[in-house]
Amino acid sequence: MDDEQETYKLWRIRKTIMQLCHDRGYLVTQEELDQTLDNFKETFGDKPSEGKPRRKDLIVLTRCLCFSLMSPRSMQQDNIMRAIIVVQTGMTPSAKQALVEMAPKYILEQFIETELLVNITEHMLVPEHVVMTPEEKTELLARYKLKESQLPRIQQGDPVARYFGLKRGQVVKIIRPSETAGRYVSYRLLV
Amino acid sequence: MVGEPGKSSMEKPHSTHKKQETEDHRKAELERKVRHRVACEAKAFDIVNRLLETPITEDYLKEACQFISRSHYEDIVEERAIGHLCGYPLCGNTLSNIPKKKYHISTKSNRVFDITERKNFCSNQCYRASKYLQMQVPDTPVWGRENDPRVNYELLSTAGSRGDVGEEVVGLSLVSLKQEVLALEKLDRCTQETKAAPANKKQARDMTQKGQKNPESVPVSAQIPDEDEGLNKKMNQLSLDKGDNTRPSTRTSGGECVVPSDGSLAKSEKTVLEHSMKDLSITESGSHTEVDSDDDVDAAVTDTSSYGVGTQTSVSKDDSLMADSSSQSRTAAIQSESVTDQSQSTKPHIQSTYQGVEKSGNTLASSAGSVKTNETVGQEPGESSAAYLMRLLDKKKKLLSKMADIQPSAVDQSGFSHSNTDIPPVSDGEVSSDMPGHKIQKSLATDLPREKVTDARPQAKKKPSPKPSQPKTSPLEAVCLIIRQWVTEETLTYLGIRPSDGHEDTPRSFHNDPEMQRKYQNLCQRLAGQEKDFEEVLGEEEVGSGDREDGRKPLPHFEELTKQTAEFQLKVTEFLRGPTPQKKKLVKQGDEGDGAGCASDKEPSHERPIVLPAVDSHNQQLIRRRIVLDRLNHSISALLPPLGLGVQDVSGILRELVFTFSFTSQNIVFKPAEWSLVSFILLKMLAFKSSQVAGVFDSEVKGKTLDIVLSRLGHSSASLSSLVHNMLMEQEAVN
Repeated sequence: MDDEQETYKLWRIRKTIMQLCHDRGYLVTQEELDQTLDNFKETFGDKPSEGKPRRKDLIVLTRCLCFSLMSPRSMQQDNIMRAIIVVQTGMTPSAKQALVEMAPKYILEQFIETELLVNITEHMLVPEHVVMTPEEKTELLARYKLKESQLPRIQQGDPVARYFGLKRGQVVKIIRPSETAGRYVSYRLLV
Repeated sequence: MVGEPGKSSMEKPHSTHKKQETEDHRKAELERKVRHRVACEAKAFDIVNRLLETPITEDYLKEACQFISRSHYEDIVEERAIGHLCGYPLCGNTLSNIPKKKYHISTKSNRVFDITERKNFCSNQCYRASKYLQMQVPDTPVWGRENDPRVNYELLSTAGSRGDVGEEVVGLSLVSLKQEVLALEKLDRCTQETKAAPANKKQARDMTQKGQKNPESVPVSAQIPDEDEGLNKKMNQLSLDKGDNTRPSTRTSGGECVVPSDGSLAKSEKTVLEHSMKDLSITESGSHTEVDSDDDVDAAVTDTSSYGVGTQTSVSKDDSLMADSSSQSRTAAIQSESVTDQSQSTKPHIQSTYQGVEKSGNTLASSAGSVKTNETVGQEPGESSAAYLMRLLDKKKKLLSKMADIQPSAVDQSGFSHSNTDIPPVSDGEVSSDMPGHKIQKSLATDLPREKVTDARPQAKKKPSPKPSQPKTSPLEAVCLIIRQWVTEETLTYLGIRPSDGHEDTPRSFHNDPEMQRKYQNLCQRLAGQEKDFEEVLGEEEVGSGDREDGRKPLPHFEELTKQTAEFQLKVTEFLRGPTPQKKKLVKQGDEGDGAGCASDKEPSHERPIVLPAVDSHNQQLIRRRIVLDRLNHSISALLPPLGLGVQDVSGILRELVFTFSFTSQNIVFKPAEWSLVSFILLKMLAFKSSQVAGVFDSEVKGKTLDIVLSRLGHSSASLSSLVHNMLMEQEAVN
């Protein structure tokens, strides 16, 4: 793969990661969100094949949240409790299991590079998802006199759920535009 | 229950309690199972993690493999490779220079390997050992193995083995060889059946014709279409071409063919019969003595016939290259003849002629002769002559079909017996299409210069005569018979079976022969002179009688010059065509027997075997060698890898060996499967020369591979070696 293409790919991935952080509520500057390809090249270089930028250089550290573009299995944890691993190709089953093994202590999410080339939440067919806080959730359940299990569900492997890094028991509010009602709101419980 | 509420109410707490108990028990059991599963998985995962580190002892690996599944093992390999460690757990090497390509193409064995997996290992040995271990690791889930017996893992040592390059993607398997042989055998059988069928059909048709009462209504010559006129013309031309030929008897045989087709309906069927009989006997007597008169033209014709009629246009080009200018026109005539012949295959008269020729061509001839005389005598008084003719033809047809059945089984007969088997004839037209080839061969043989052969003819009867009575031989033996014809003294010398004697005048030593050198230079000078003459002629035409240099002869007349030029050209082409071994032998023997005087003053070029460097396309031997080498390369490359040999190990010596062979046009035609056998036999012969090849046959493992392959063909390697040995020894005894 030539450098131009590779650089473009890295830039796109990094951009999506920044948006992901922003959507999850981490502090990301507007400058970083709006970074253009030229800016990216200036900052990191445009020759990935020669190690400029190396994938290691693209690690994003956002307060206890570590994003890295790395090959599977080479994870160095320095007191970071939560991380997103971006791998080039699929992980072996054992590597995935390794991520699960660490679950109670470290929370590791993994994405494949190609998954991050576009920000799926910006797609026209993907409705707006809002993650609800625990307080909002209890309020919701009280308001509609529902038990948790009576809510519609969403899977853990759902792309949007993964994007937001949802955990079991969390509820998302999905707001769809509707011709009759203007806005149609539904709730999903992560199982 | 309903009728006894009291009882049920009494029992109820007990049963619920019991149910509760079993429920608990079941739950506990389930939980235990799940926990066990999880524990097993966890353990496997733990082992995988531990196997990622180095170093690992063999015992630990064996122990560890009890608790993992194959997918775990694959993970281990991949994870290790990602960490730049060799994928084989016992190997502690780091990976460097990992190739980027996906396939490896081995030029040594002509194969393509998928190396995606191989990339995870430091060496072929590690890859092989790892694969070996991986195949032993069971595929069942790790938690379901409680009752399974312990697997005893074997580890392949990485030191001695050869290793694998990768997973083979494109290559040739030996399994196909057997299938090929079977398919060919089946094809042979089909061919024989279809051959027998048309004969029956002809018989039936003859019967209907016989049914016709009026003899006048069966005008044999009337059935001959217009093309036959062309054929006759060709025939006439042929006999005219002969010009100085000294064989009036055969010329009449050509003439005899013309007679019934003259269009003279007035001739009675009786005469037709007589003519055909005469014809038959003449060709018989003629062709008997002439089988070997000249191999070159013979070759040109049989080449044509063995290629089949469909490819004749392309072949004719070759022919024109091969044949000299005078015989060129002849061959052309013959080709068109064979085409017309084929189109008229239903014509009874010509068929009878074919049959006669066919008979004369093989050892059946004598018996056929006796049959024929019986037939001539045995005409029934009441029978009309036409009916009698039909009956006669019928008998001959039966004989023909019998021969057609026999021919394919004896592989070593002649070129067109192969063309029989290669192109399964579906109609009787095709069956008889083989016959013209044979006939031409014979009739052509008659108009060749005979001076040089006449004395040596008795010795010249070395050519394999067809043996229809021969029992069905195995393919290997048949191939051996043919290869026996190939083997020359040089071969024996080359293989070291016979000590080489330097003074022998072998064709290859012409470089050292001063006589030859002198002659060659003479030739060159003559050629140069000829060229000069040409230039002069041209110069004269352009400038008129311009001023010539002094010291030159006055220019001869132009016509004379052109005549000379043509003569020279003829000689040169004859020269360049190169001698065939048989011709050589003939001449040599002639020299020894009669003294050198016999041919010396007629044509100096025939005094002794002329061996010129294989300069051009005129050399038959060269062409044949090329064909054989081409085929051998194809078949032998498939055989070598299982024997542990590389192509470069044998290609050199194989080439040299093939160059010592003498080929004729008829013994280089094989079926694909037979080529494999030829390769085997040649390899066996090479074992005399090369210790490496001999080692293969001696070594147990590779010998076994060979045995397996041969046993599929119904042979053992012992029989192969004995065959080859016998062949060479016999040949030596002959020489």
